[in-house]
Amino acid sequence: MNALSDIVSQHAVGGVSRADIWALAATVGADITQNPNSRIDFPFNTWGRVNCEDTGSPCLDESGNSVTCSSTLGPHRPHPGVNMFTADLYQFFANEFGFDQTDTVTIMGAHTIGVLATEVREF
Amino acid sequence: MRALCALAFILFAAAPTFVAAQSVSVDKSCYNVDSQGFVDIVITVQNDANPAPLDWIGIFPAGSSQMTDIGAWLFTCGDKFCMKAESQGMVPLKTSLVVGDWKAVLSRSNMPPYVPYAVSPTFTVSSACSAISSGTVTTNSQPAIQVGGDTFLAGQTIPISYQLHGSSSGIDEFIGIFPSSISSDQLLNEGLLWKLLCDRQGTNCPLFAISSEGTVNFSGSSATWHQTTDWPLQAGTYRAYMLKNNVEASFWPVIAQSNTFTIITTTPNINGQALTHLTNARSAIESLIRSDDTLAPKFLRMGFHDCIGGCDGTSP
Repeated sequence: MNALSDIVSQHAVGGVSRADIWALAATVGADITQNPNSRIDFPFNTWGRVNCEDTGSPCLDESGNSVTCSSTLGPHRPHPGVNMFTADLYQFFANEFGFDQTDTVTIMGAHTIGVLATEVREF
Repeated sequence: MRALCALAFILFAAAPTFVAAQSVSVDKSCYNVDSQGFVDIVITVQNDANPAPLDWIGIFPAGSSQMTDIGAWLFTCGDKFCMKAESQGMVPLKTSLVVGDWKAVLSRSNMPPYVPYAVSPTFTVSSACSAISSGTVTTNSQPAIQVGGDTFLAGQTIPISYQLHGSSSGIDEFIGIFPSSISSDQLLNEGLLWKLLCDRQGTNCPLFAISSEGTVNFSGSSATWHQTTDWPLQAGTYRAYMLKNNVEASFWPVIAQSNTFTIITTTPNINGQALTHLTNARSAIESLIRSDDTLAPKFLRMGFHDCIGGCDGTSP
């Protein structure tokens, strides 16, 4: 974030938000680290993402106390609980991110080490 | 607003014959986390209308309006396996919960979307309960609303946060937006735009969806507004009021009022400017990464992990 501070001060204007610059940096990072032999494009066609302090939602620290929103402290977003069932997980990602089942299976697979065991968890 | 009136009328008419047969409550308003990270909660359940074996109690974050983020759960018969119908009882629950505000919910269905049958008062999980009760919690005892910004582009989402306290249940309250020239001592109708506290413009809020604080977003999507005005608001200065729907009146008592805010309509060449800035920012980021290629994975991590829930871009 510090590395981007100059870019934020120069270009987070005219309808482009600071949040857009973070998202753009992530996109450029993904773009540049691709395998050069099988590249895909990362178009960036939406802007106007809301900065934390402009969301109008309360921001919480790790103890759940209300604190001033800033570039590194945003509104509370719940994480999926460890007791969730598969159907809960689909519902969570659909509600929070608009994911369909394929999207959810993809992100869970990409974040899983090992295998899920039905006899351990109550899937 | 006619729909709100009709709803209130139905509730009123039904009240004498309908007795709430389900309730859920907990034994304390604040629970200390023990040295192993557990809390001991005793949940009292009244479930005598038509108890079913799969009726269950879930612990959810107090601000949650969706029953997806379960903190802990068990069947009304006392554990996760018993599956016996119980009309009433006291159920001990030992579980680990994150420090924060929670509520217990009595639910029936065993597949989502779950149906809440009763909701307990909010309780707190803390590492220092006594400090909290003598602290800041009681100082803000008035309902309040606040507009999340001073100036909005016409058509831009207007977030209005609210806090409910005391006698305001949230079931009858709604938020209306009025020209700032109208003051709270005038008789207020429903305003140019209005919305229920559960962020709906429909006929009613489910009881479960109303938490003691939250945000109502006024935006153009799937909205039908008061007939005299249409979305978006014209340029001008406005104020939001929290009002209480009252079936016997054609105006609405004021519960709270917001700061004023301004709608503007002119932003010269904003799209062209934005595209130019994004193009320039993109090449600046690229040259930054060329000068230090360890920044590429750092940016990737920032955008796709750290900024989910921690920094900008968390709002849709």
